[in-house]
Amino acid sequence: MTRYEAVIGLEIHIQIKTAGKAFCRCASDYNAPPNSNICPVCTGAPGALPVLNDEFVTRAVSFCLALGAQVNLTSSFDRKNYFYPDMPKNYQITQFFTPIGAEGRLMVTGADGTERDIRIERIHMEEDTAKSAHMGERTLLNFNRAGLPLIEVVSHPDLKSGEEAAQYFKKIYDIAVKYLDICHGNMEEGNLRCDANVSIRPVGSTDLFTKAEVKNVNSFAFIAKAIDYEIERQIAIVEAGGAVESETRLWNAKLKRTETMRKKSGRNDYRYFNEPDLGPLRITTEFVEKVRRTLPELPDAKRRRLKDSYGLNSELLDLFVGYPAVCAYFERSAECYPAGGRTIASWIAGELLRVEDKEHFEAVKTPPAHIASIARLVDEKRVTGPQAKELFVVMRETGNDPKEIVAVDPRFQQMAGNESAALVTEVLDASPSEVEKYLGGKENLLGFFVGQVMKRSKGKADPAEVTEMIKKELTKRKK
Amino acid sequence: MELLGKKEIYANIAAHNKALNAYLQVVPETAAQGSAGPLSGVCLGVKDNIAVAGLQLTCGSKFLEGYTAPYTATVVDRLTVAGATVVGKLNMDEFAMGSANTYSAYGDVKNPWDEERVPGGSSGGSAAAVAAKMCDAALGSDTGGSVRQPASYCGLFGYKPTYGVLSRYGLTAFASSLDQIGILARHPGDIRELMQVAAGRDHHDATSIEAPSFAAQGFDPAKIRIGVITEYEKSMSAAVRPAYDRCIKELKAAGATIVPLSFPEYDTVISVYQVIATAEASSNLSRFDGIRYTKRADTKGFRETIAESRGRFFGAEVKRRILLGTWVLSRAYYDSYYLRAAKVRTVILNRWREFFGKVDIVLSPATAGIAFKRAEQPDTFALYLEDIFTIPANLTGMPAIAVPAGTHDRMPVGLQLTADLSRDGMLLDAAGWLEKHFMDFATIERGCRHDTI
Repeated sequence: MTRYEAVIGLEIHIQIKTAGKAFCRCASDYNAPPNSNICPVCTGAPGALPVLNDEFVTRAVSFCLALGAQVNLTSSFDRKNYFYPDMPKNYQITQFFTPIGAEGRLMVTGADGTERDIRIERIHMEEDTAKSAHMGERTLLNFNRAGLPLIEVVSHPDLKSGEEAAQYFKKIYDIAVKYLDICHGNMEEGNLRCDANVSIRPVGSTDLFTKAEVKNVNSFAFIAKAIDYEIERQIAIVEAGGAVESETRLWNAKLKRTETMRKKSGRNDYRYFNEPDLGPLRITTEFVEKVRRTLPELPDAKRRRLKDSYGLNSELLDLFVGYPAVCAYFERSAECYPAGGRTIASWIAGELLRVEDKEHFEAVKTPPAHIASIARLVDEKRVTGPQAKELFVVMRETGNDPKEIVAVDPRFQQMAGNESAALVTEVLDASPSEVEKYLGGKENLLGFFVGQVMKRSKGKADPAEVTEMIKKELTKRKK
Repeated sequence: MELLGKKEIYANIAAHNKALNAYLQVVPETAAQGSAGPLSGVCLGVKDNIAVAGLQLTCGSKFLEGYTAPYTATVVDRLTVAGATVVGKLNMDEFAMGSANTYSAYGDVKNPWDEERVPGGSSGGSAAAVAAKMCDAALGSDTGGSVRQPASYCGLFGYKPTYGVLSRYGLTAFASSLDQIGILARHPGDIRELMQVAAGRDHHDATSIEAPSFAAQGFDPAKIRIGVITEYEKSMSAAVRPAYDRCIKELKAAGATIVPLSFPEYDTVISVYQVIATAEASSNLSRFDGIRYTKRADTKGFRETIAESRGRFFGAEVKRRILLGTWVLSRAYYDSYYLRAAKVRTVILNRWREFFGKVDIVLSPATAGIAFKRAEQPDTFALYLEDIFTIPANLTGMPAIAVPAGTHDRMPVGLQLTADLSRDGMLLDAAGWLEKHFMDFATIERGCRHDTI
């Protein structure tokens, strides 16, 4: 039987956060009352002309650099002509002939765990359309959205599964929203829109079957499901001897399947030509380098560095790479206690995130230095595990540095060695039958003895030290 | 500026506009109040494809009947801030497509010299209004000669600046890479005064450029090299040839050096222009769809509404050019028409840059002949050929001015001066010299019928 593989490419539109619109100075807040942020330019009034927003260019260049793309020093603005009621001029200003960015790459981890670069074909700037709302027979148009700056990222068809597509989409989201802060990232409002081109082919073959476009898979919840469904659907058609039709499909979340939206009959002819009102966009190498210097460390580089300097496991790496604010907190904390990276990381992941929201981590009140203090106290065995957990609570309540808390609070005084030794003798003397069983070979009773000692010490004994003492004492009693 | 005065202008409008059909909208005399400034008292007519907030903006089309401009074009704004008053909106060929002003949805404009004749186009209303003294000067738009050709037909100076010197913000686009607002006036000095205020970079127009100097520098023909294009001689009618020859003779007599130039591509300009202009127009005019601000032919479905509205409200010439432009941009023909035309345009630009390495000014006729009678309008393609001398300045972006040069058959004849990019000041100096010294100018001054009423 033939085995098939999927060939997937994503086209992602990102609404860029700028004060004005792409080609006019209207405010970019499209939640304002409908049609309040509009002017002759973004409504396509006769005689109005587009003027490029510099901020849009800066953000587009930073995004290209973040995706490792080549930035074209001369790029073109072009008109894409087609009639649609939400298009003020009935052409869209886009970059067709020469986009601002080309040949980028982004890493995904395949099903077998190997990391692979997904090639990005082009990154271009364009303008958004008005938003239409249908009310019965009538269609209402809100031009607040018309002319908002968009960046479109088109990948090569290098993705092989819904899961990989989801990873890639999430990474684009993270870079735009969390790393560069050039997009509000509100998915419900369509700040990021993703369309997937999906086709299949026999494994090992290089020819492509007809592809279908699955529109609006812009949800972390269903992007993988929608694409995987579509792959299975196409395989079923081909195996039944049929052929996949060229069409645009939509994900039906209720029925968990993709459905035909419209058939593609021939290619649209958009009659592209250079936008004569703008002329080519020319930028300098100096400008590109200036923008490059403002870039934060990006996900792939960050992951590598965190792994190398702290030896974190992949779960922690995912957390820190996915949440730059949490990562920044971690790194500030690790600065206070450079040798304690792993302990600090697990305290942030295990305890702090139990009570704080990783999505809104900027507002966390606990100073990073305090988490470093706890980690150091733990590593130096200055407090026991149970004490440390209690210390965390006290630290949160008082806002004091754990270092100072343990110095004055009797609850965190550690038991001296001879006191612990006395408790060990006490416990063993009180449990003759358990001692006998232990000596007879039931060594898992060790935990029972440690537990008893810890209980009597009210948590102040050092469990590791106590364990050693018990072992020694029992060995003695064997003789 | 030599001003006629508001009173006389409104009296002339009352007397002649009905017959000439130049103004489509006249601002009431009481409302036409200019502010204080260097242009105080200047009464300006504005072609009806240039936006003036609160006034109509029909572009000569049924499509925009009843539409009021929501904002003011930069050029108008600068002129009115400096004191000028807008008197009204002027008739034109629909969306500036035409050479005779017979393609307006609001009726033909008559030539004040002879009402049976056309005033030229597309700024026919602007030319008729200035010639009949219904304003001190008028704004027009020039995509392939639409300011210079009617100026020439009506015995006026008609100036198209270097591309970008006047902001296009507020000028309804026909062909964006060719369009320039231009000025029609009775004297080049008037044009100079208006340009000193209106020219220069505009943050609403990305293609606008720094203004060159418009200060009068004086003009000495003895220091000037005048180029004449050999190939043009074939295309001049007997009506314009004598004026052309006389002008060369007088310049030579004043000490100018005459340099023959060869423009082997001259017969490609019409084709190149038709491809580029219609391609851009097909895109620029797609915003007229009946959806937002124009008249709508209501039918079921948005596609049907758009198609029906465009079918019903565009005139035949506009449809012809939209169809041609759509075709030359379509995927199958883009390379062989649009792309090729763009390449030839570059060849033409290089040729003219080369000319200005050898000469300061190129002299040519403005039009092949004189204003024709409406009843004898040539066919569509013959009409396109009328623009052969004016088109190069649009393709190259160079400044050019039509200059009155006597009459033929009691109708004005126009010549044209073209200069290198941003040499607009020198061009106006040259036009000023001709006004003063070219003997045929005097006949023009007294020629216009409405002048003598």
